[in-house]
Amino acid sequence: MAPGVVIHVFGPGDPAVTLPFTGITLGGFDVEPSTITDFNGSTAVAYHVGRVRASDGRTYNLETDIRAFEGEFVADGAVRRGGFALI
Amino acid sequence: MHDFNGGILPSGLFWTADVGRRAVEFKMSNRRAVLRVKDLPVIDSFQFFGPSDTPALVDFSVEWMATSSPVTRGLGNTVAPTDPRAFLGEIATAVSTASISGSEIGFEFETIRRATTSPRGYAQIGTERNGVFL
Repeated sequence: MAPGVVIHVFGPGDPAVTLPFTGITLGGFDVEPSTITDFNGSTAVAYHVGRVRASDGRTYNLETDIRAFEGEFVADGAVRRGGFALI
Repeated sequence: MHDFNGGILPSGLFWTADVGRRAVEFKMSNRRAVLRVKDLPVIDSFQFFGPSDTPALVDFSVEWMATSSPVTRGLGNTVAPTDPRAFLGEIATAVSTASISGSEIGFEFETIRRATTSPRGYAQIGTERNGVFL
């Protein structure tokens, strides 16, 4: 990561929850869910846990950080509306 | 390990893809949400911030349902813009399930049953505003 680059991604959620496979502890309830700067809208965050079956015949543990965003954002100085997903 | 993510776009969006408004539906005053995406181009970086990226496609169907009343969150513009609390929102805890599949050259996968946020994960749903909207 280049010096001075700011990543607008935080990990909101219950700080009592530690995800089972990465060992990541969630950052708290007062932590921003959106990964879009200048955003106004709806957000949903989910850290799923499960299993996947793969074409190599193996099963893998699955852990996600999937988020959905729908609303207004600013691009090229104009307010626009859109839908986004973090994966 | 495989780490399928949205990469970093030229716009600066990090792991975040423009999936269009039709793919994302919030309803019942933000108590429920559905995200459905098919053939979304992503990369498999094999580890967090891994040095090698393999192009892949993923399909996912995700549903959220609120399980609590929304609570006011964030501190708005009373903190620095880079602070994790630099937003204002009304957010409820939730449960979520997901069906996910993906493919890249020589490798495919799909979830065994729907992955879930209960009891070992976490989910939330609500509204927020940040930046110029504060």
